[in-house]
Amino acid sequence: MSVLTGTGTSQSADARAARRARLGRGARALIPYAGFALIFVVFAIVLRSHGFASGSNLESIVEQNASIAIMAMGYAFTLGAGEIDLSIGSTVAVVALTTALVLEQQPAWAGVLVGLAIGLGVGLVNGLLTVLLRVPSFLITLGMMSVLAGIAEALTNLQSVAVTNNAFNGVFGSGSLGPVPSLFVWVGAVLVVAQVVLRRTRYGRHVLAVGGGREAAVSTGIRVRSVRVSALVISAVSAALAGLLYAGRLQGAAYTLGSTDLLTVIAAAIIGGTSLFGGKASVPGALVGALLLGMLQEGLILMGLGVPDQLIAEGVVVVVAVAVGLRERPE
Amino acid sequence: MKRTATGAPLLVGWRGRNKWAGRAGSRAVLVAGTAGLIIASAGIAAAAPSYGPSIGAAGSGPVTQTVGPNHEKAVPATSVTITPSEVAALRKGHFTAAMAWHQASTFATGVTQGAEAEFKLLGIKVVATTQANFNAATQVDQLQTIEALRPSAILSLPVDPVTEASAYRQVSAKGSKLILLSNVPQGLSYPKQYSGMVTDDLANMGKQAAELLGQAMHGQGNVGFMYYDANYYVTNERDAAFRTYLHLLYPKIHIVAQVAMPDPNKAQTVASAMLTRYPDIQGIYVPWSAPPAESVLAALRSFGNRTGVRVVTMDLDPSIDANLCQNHYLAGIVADQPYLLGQTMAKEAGLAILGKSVPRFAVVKALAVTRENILQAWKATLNQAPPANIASACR
Repeated sequence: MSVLTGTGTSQSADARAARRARLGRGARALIPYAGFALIFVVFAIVLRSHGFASGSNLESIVEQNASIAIMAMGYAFTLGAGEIDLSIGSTVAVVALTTALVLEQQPAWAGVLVGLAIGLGVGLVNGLLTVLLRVPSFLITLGMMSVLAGIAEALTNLQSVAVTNNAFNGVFGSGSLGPVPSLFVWVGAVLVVAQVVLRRTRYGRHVLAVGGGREAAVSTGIRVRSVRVSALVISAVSAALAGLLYAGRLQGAAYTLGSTDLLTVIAAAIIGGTSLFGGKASVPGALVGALLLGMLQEGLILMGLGVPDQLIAEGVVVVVAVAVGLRERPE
Repeated sequence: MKRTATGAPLLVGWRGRNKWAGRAGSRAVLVAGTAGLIIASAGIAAAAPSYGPSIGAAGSGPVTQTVGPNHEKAVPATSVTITPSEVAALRKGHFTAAMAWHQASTFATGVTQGAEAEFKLLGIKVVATTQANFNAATQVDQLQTIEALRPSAILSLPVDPVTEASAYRQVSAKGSKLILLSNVPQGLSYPKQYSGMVTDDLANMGKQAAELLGQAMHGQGNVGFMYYDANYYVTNERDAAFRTYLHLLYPKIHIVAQVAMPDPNKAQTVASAMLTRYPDIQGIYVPWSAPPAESVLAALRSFGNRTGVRVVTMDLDPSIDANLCQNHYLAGIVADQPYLLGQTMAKEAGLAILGKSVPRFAVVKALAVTRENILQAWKATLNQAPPANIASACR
């Protein structure tokens, strides 16, 4: 056998291995969707008499999980860039409360502007402290989480605030755009924008490049610090939008809003295919992950399981979903 | 594609370095962002209507009688009865019920068990039970899920009367009869939107707590008063009643420290600070057992030399009940009767389903529990034998 033939055999073996790896990655990327479909089918069969698969119930699942889904889609950027933001829950509470307070005397647009500005400010502070002080974002956002939680409690002395501005409530959760509930519109809009930015823009490629390897990203000329800051801004602004939606859907705000959302958001993003270690992110996957978790909680309640059984079943499914989908760490 | 000097692909735009990515520019943005955040918060706080001092010790007047959150007059829970013919009608109807609680706890378990036992007698099937981890948004989601089951009745303890009002109105509009525990969502009308509310005899609980502590302190001394710093009807009423009756019944006992406890999970920190600041405290009131009273006992143990301090609290809980018998710190516990609360709620649900009259506000008396009667109190209030460690400590 000539050297040339040996090289050719080696090359075709490499090509086959590469193709298998691509197919494997492609198959793994479908796992969140397959898991979602499987759980849906199981519940649709078991709970057919409870109307699980009815249009109104499916609408309800999306509405209940809209805030989580939007935060998870934003969080895909944050995790994809190799960062983590622990302050999103507290950001939700501060934004919801301040917006509610502003709406007591100002029109809807003022409340929305203030809420989003707070999200932007929180994200900028998180991001710039992270890059300038060279401290992991985990620690910076841990501190910010506490600061914002204190602000949320102090804003109204722990009292809840009703939101009676009909225009705001209609746009941010309680109304609809024609036949489409407003929450659907928001989820759809964030899905489209986030997916286009992540997959079709240079910025999106930069996010994943930074998360995949900071040193390599620097050497290719990417503005790594800018990307890291922006990733934390995205998670904070997503949380701010979620806060507005909570306030509109509940028609009120309380300092406890968002307090239990952090782990759910992270779990949703990871189940959907975003890597906890950076370099890999999926926006539609994050949405599917959020809806999967929400559907699971609802299905277990409808099945009549007791509270302890609900928690155990949820935990088992999450572990299985993550274990099956999470097969490799990026270098 | 543009490349760097080393030949790697250049993934940046042609404009080169970002103007603000320089160190000075970043600092400027950081300062501006932080300043903007602070200014925005300060402006909002200044513009916001005053929410006054915290609800709790500072905001509550004297309480000597239990009235509802909307000043309803109380009737005893024993007045809620179902006739045999009503039971028969319910059994024929194949009705259903769901329970949406605020959190998982010994209390919630007791209420659930009482309600389930009564529903079984009435032939009403329980189709769902949830607990919301004290999170209003979670409870709203759970109510929407329960709504899909169209239960004939829903028993619930609302976490937040403001943010959940809309969800409860919706559930009621779909036809489920609402029986509420200890809290009424804002704006809900009786009997159209909710059929009745049940709670403990809160003023009497405060009085019982004052009597337990007053007797343990032999009628004199200094007390540290810890209160839940939130707008929460049940604890606000009990706390205010305790202060009122302590003052009325034991004029030689003085509350020297009133300490807010906004986070029950941080009660040990709050208690430690109070004990450090006021070393002559001989009695402590804690608004409920777990986790706050459990944490206060831990704080006292860590001080070591405060063995003379007596503590009184509300609600039986395995985490602290053994301490009552070991005679360390606990002087007594005022135990509500969750099993009876659940039974009463289930009866009210049955009556509401049949379209019969249900009292707007019914109260269940609590028990003053000491070392002498704790074993009986467990059976009476929770309908179960006490855990083995409590039984052996209290034998």
